[in-house]
Amino acid sequence: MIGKIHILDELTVEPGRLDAVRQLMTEVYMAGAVERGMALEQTWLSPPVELYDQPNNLVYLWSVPDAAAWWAMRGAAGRDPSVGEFWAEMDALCVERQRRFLVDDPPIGEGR
Amino acid sequence: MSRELALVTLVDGADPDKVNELEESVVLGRHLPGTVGGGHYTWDGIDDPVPSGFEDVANFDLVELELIDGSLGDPGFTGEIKRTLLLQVQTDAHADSVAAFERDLMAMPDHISAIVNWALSRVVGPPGIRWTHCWEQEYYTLDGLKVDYMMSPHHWGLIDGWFDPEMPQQIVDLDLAHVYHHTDRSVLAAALG
Repeated sequence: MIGKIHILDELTVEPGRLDAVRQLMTEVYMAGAVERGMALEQTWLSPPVELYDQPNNLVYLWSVPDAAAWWAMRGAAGRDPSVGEFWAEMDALCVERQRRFLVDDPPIGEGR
Repeated sequence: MSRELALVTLVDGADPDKVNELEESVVLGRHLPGTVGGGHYTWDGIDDPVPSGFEDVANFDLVELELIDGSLGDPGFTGEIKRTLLLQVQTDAHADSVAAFERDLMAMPDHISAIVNWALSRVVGPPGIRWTHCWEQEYYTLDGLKVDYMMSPHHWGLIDGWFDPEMPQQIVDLDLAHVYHHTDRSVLAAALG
């Protein structure tokens, strides 16, 4: 049985656009994400200082309680055109973006 | 190998007597609650086609299918659920992405044992049809679809990325038809046979 699911957004941000990405995430995405059941657990900056001539990575770690909550999040995002529009706006500020889903690694022999 | 399939949507205010006549004239799978975007019935393309004269009763979204691959885990399947997903890959999707998407779909039965029989087809007609792919499965129980398939981490953790508007690799349009109906026979055994 899979419990908590983590959602890892890795944004490789164009030089000079870190604050724009942070602002977009905070002011546009955050409230809707919480309404869809996502909890923000952590954010990271790498390298740990803003670069001026190279991209930085901004990483956002979210979670939902289980697979049913994951589908509730996914269904709500699918019904809201503003979510896709948000990511299109975000992608214009980024060199690359990935979203990964992570679960606890099962013990040896109990792999899925 | 090719065949046809149709999603049938009753028109608003359809005459109940004509609806009964339609149901008696052709073998239709009545969609179960929870289906999305595909109307009221599936005609699975292994029986006589819908006769003419019902145009004022229902709209028939007919597709011509060309099989990519399929497998019969149980050719003698006697029910109970046939599921059809009709989808549209976006026209600007890269060919490599489309091929990877098709491979991922066809790997699902390796991870989800509740999928008994399956077929993946390209939609090749009629001209102008919006659908590009048809992904069909058969299950012994409704839970096989609604629990084993939907809640599999292979589904939500990998496959759905092709459909998810939050994922960079999304190539499938959000407007799709996810329909399922009871059956007491294997449509896919007949179709793939």
